[in-house]
Amino acid sequence: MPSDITPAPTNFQHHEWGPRLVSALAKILCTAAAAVALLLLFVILGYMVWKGIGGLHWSFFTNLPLEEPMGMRNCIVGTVILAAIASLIGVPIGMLCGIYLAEYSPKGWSTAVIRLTLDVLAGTPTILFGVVVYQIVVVRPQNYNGWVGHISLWAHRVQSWLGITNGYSGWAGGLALALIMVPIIARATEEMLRLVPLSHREASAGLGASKAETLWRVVLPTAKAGIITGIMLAIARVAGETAPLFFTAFGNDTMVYNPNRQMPSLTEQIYNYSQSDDPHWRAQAWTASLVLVSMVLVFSAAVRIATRKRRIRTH
Amino acid sequence: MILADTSTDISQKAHGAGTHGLTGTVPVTTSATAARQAVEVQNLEVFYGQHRAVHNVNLKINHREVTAFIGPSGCGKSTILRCFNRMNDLVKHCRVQGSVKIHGADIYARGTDVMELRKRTGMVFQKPNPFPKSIHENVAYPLRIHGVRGKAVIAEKVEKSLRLAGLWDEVKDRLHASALSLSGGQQQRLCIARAIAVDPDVLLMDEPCSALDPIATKTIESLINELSKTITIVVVTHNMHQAVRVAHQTAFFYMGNLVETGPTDKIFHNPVQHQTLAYVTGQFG
Ligand SMILES: Nc1ncnc2c1ncn2[C@@H]1O[C@H](COP(=O)(O)OP(=O)(O)OP(=O)(O)O)[C@@H](O)[C@H]1O
Ligand SMILES: [Mg+2]
Repeated sequence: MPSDITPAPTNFQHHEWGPRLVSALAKILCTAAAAVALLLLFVILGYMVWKGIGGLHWSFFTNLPLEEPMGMRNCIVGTVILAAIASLIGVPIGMLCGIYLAEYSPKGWSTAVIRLTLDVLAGTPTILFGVVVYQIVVVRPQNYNGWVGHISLWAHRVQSWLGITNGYSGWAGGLALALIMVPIIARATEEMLRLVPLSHREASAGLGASKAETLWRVVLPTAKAGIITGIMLAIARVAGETAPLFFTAFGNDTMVYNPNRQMPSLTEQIYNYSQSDDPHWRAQAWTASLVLVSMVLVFSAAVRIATRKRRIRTH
Repeated sequence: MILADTSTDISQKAHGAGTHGLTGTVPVTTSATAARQAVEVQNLEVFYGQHRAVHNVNLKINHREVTAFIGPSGCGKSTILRCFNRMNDLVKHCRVQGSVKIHGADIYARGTDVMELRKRTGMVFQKPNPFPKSIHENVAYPLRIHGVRGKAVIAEKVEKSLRLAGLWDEVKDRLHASALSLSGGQQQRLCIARAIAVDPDVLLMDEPCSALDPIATKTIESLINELSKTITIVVVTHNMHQAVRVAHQTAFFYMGNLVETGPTDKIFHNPVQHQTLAYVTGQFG
């Protein structure tokens, strides 16, 4: 067959309505859904600002709940302490888990199981972490029978060695929050490390760097921004947790700095006050919500700015 | 995941007392002829799983000369090159048999310090791969990991390497700018500077110019000529003209076999094997 047959002219003017209609509809639906979601978010935030801004006086930050005018200084400090304890425990463990998964774990079913477990844990209702910490750290069981008893026994030994008391405490609350952070940070770290191109690792190995040196000096710095974002998301997440704190930190109307004591938190106070019959207390709950959201916002912005500055300087 | 140990099967067990493992000391060359040879490959076989990528290669690479590896795509050039600094260790399922000696020391011998080997056997990759760090930090990196301390010492070595790589004048005013802000050719010269910062004996270059334009290529080629006065260079290339321009010796590979090796002139104008002739005259490839 000779191959020089002229192809039939194509009619680019040909219209087909089906595909056009579908893409137009898809576009409208997506835009509408996004608009509704955004609108709802702004309504919620706006409502919170509207309800909460009235109670925003200096006394809110300087006074305690039982003082007049009432304030939540202890709850703000408590939330910060709880988040700090949680980060101190959860960030290193979570990051090490993520590093293990991305860099050291063997390919195969065991790693897949670990990853799946972490994903399930990340989606587990957080009240469960509260209950677990309550069982193991807060209460002394009647006996130390069975494997739960064994875990409790060892937990108590470690606890008394660390000088941590039984009962509701800031340590217990922080630990529950840390458990919530670990799977989130582990998966975020793993994903970010996997994004670091092979060429960086090869370049480093080719220069005679050991695996640990490559990880520490090339891979982690490259993934740093993403890992920090993951950590911030986890911290913001636990700062807003309420249910697990009921079983662990419990709450306190006085000022506490000692994590061995019951520890107040904004979320827990919001829950208590929003149930109240007293409109004054309910207003306080709105103000507390506004303060909590603002704290998370300011914290995220601060970390972002701090890390961005460093990037410009060294690169 | 990617970084996994490769079990290396050494068929040559005959080197006893004369072999020097790369354990931090410079091995002494054992004989007068070995001094002329930077790299000596014997009965090299490389497998990826069941697939044999390199078959019974025997090759000597002269000290302080440029040797070009040519051959059609997939013939195993990169694989062989990556045996010289054991980069194949990083590839799972890659298995190496036979022996590779660098300055007389069998680098696949048990107890070889791979970090030290790679320090002394620099590598430049096909695609420029600077770290997302500053220009200065890129060149300082190998110095730091090999224990060089002191700001002044490092700065001096960084300058020396950048000068050798012909990049100093272009970057001396922006050493702390990101390496990623450089052009492709500059990035590749930065990678060369990085590789030569710790004074390697051998420089392995896997198609170092294939991602570059002709002018950047020219610059790298004259750099190769310059560096070969002090460093043994092995360069993989698909560009015959490049081989002719830079290489003293040329090795032609075909389907995992070394077909012919010799002075570049001879390989290109008077080869013994008809396959070599066919390849260098562009009849396949
Ligand atoms: N990581 C790997 N896993 C499995 N097989 C591989 C791997 N790397 C290379 N190979 C195979 O080994 C053979 C030689 O590949 P190699 O990359 O050494 O060829 P090359 O001569 O460098 O080719 P090119 O000129 O295209 O770079 C090829 O058949 C290739 O498919
Ligand atoms: Mg190749």
